[in-house]
Amino acid sequence: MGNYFSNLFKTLFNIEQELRILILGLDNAGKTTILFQLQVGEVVTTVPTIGFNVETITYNNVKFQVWDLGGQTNLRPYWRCYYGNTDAIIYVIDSTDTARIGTAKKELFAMLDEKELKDAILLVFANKQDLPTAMKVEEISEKLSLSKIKNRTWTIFKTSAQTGEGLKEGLNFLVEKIKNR
Amino acid sequence: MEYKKNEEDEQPLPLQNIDKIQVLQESRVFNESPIKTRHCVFLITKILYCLGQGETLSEMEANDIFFNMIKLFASEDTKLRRMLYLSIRELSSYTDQVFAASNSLLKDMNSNHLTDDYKANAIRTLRTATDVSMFGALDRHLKQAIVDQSPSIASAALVTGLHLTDVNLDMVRKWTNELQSALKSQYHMVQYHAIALSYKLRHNDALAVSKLVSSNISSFRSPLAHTLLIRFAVKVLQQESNKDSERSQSLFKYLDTCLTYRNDIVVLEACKAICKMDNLSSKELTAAVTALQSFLLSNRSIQRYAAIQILNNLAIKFPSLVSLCNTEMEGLVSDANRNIATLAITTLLKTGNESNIDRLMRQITKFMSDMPDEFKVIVVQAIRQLCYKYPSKYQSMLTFLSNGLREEGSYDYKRSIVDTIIGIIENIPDAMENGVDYLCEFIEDCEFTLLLQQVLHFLGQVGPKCQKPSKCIRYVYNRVILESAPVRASAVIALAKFAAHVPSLRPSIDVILQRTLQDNDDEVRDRAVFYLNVIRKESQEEIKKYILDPFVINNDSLEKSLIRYVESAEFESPFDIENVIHHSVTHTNSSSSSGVVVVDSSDVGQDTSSLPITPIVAKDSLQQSTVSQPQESPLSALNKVPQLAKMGVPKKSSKAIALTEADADYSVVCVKHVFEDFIVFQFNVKNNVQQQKLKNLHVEMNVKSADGLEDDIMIEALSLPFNATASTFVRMKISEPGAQPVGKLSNTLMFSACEADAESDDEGDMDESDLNDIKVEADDYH
Repeated sequence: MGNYFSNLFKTLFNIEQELRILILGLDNAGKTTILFQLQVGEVVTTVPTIGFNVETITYNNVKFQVWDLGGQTNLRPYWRCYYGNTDAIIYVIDSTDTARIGTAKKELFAMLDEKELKDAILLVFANKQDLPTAMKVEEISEKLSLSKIKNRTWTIFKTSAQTGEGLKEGLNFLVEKIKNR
Repeated sequence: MEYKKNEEDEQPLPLQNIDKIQVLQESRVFNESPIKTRHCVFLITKILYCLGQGETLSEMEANDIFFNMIKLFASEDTKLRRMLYLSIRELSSYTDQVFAASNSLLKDMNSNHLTDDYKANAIRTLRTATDVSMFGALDRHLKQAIVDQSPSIASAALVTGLHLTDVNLDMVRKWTNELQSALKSQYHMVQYHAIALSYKLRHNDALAVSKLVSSNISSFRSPLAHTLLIRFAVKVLQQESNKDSERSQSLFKYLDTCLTYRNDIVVLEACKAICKMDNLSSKELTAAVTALQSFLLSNRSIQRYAAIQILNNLAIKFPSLVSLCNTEMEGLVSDANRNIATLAITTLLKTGNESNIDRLMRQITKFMSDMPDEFKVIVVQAIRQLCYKYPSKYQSMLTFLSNGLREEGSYDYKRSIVDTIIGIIENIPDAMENGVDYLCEFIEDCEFTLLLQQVLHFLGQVGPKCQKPSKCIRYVYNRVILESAPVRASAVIALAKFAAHVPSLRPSIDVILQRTLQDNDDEVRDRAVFYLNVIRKESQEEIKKYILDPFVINNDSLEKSLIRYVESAEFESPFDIENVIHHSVTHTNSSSSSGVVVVDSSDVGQDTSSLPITPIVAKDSLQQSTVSQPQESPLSALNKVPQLAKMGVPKKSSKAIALTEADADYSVVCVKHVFEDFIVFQFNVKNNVQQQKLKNLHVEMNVKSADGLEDDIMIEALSLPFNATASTFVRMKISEPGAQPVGKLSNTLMFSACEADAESDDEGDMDESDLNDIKVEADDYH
């Protein structure tokens, strides 16, 4: 009941706090493209991210502060510097990169072990679904052993940063879950 | 805000007494959401303040701060952004991880809502944060920035390029087109930075540099760019051997036109460049000097200073040319700026000629009293030079100097005057009487013990040669009565010298010295007793030995010997000063500062002076280089051994020391060669046994008490027939660099002897013969 009132209060006076979201994943998974597709709704050409991009996105009256962190091997150790106060993680998989799906899994589970991310919601984006060589969502889900994830709200979406497919659905899911939290 | 609150408090500085650890703990504020802009700005200020105060960060601390702080890029606040740039630059020297800011900085560079100045700062910051992997991405953006409309962005990109030439020259090389358009920029600063970068890219190529200079001479409007061009032109001219070539001519012409440029900086730079060139005639320099002349009258002190400084340097080589400006320079003597006044005076002194020196000295005297001592010292030094140049003018200069001695002044000032007067007396015999008078007067009222002692010592040497030595004695004797113990002792020594030089004065000095026997300081009494005894003996020989001959002792070797004696803790035998003194004296007498000593067989010692060394040319091919002729210097023997020759010339080679009786079966003489890290012992062995041939000679050395020496290599002499001499070497390493080990080494000559006419493959019988010990002394090193 208290939850209801506080949500109502926030909606009425629009003093809602920003939600903090991290977009993570191996390099060349499409994280930066997803970020800008979400923000401006179009495809921008990107260069490998050294460091991070941060943008504020408003969707359905909810403000997201989205951090897109560089995914190159030498940058991954620094992801942990950004874990604090994170509400949700978008973990982006390059569905065509069968060779490195194992690495992606290892990084994913290492991250989920972190204390600071204990309460964060996990969204896995099986990206690049517009390409013919892309693996099916089920296949990816199995290869990542997502079913082994316990005590956490998680889901997987098939997405394409090029077409925008699945991105809105992902955000909707997020808004839903956070409102209910 | 906290700033204001603190300002109202009594504490004058808001950031005083802040603690690094505390500041680092506060850095959690960076993580708070939403971002507390003001708080963060103040905290970054604190961090920067700490670093500015000399605090350092460990890599971990720097990483911590950086990764917390970098999140602040999410804020659009421009003040906060500026602080972020500043702190990233600072942190870049503590951690490499700042490259993680690259993406954010790159975004700022291309941002639409930041002002040009922020974009420029982002570019500059990006350079400090950059990482080799970023260059690909950087290249396109920087090229774009160079041709940006905004001068601050273009300049920032050009300066970044300058820095990048050190890490990625090839990338910057490809910016030719952009650079060309930057050179044509309408903004002065952009032109300046563009020419600097262009030069950096081709500074190794003289031809390209000269092209760069000549192609831009006419098109540049930026004075700063012109100053750079002038410097580059000078470099080209210096490398150019042919002064009359077309290229040189055009560059000279350029420098000349710069002299009439409407901007002062350019004119000064051109003057400086022209005056620095060493191959110009005074006619070619005239234009520059005329230009400088007008600067001397400028109302801006910086211009007067620049001009007078250039003239000051030029006056060394072209005094008559610079004397054209004498009127203007005399005006500057009373300049409010003391630097300018001093330079003017010293320049005038350099340009002075015999006719105007007297006037000049009078003029300077008027202003000297207003000057701080450091400047007076410079003037005194200039006078010293002048005096050597015009010896006939010593009178007025001595007067000037003596005025200086009478004034109040610091030790350095007084010392420079005393040094100058002493120098004048030593170089100009006529000046002696006057100079000594001034010095005598000076010691009557001098508060500096060291100077008093120096003057007393000098009077002891020179005073007796004056026309009336007795006059000096009065001044010296006054010191014995009035001054402190160290000065009294010096005065006693000086008196003794008077007595030694001038026999007629001996009775009077005897009386004076007798009085000092009652002195309450033992140093003074001891000296008086000693000198009285020597003088009363009336033996010229002893007087010469104990008073007149300088008692030279090498302080370094004395100190080392003493330290060694104390450290050895063997106090049963007293400290033996004989070695130190004796060797030092012979050393100064022989004045073999070059370190090359030629063996003089008569000097080797009585035992060996009769040593008949017959030169024998080596016939046996086996003997090779090891048989040396006795007349040649030990160094040449050293040079024949490849292992030793490459060590170069020794610091010092000792005289030959006999290690056996001269008529022993095998007589051995040793020479010590001291190198930086090694000592090479060269043993010259002579075979005096008929019918015998020696083979495989070497000396086994045993370090008895010479700690700090280690066996290194040994070089055998292969073969030694009767009546020939061969050299064998032992090289010892000085284990501690810079140490000067001393002590004794014992030596045994090892060899195999066989019949003189034996077959060459006859090994002979092993034998050995004990040699005298060798001493390595402190004196061997100096």
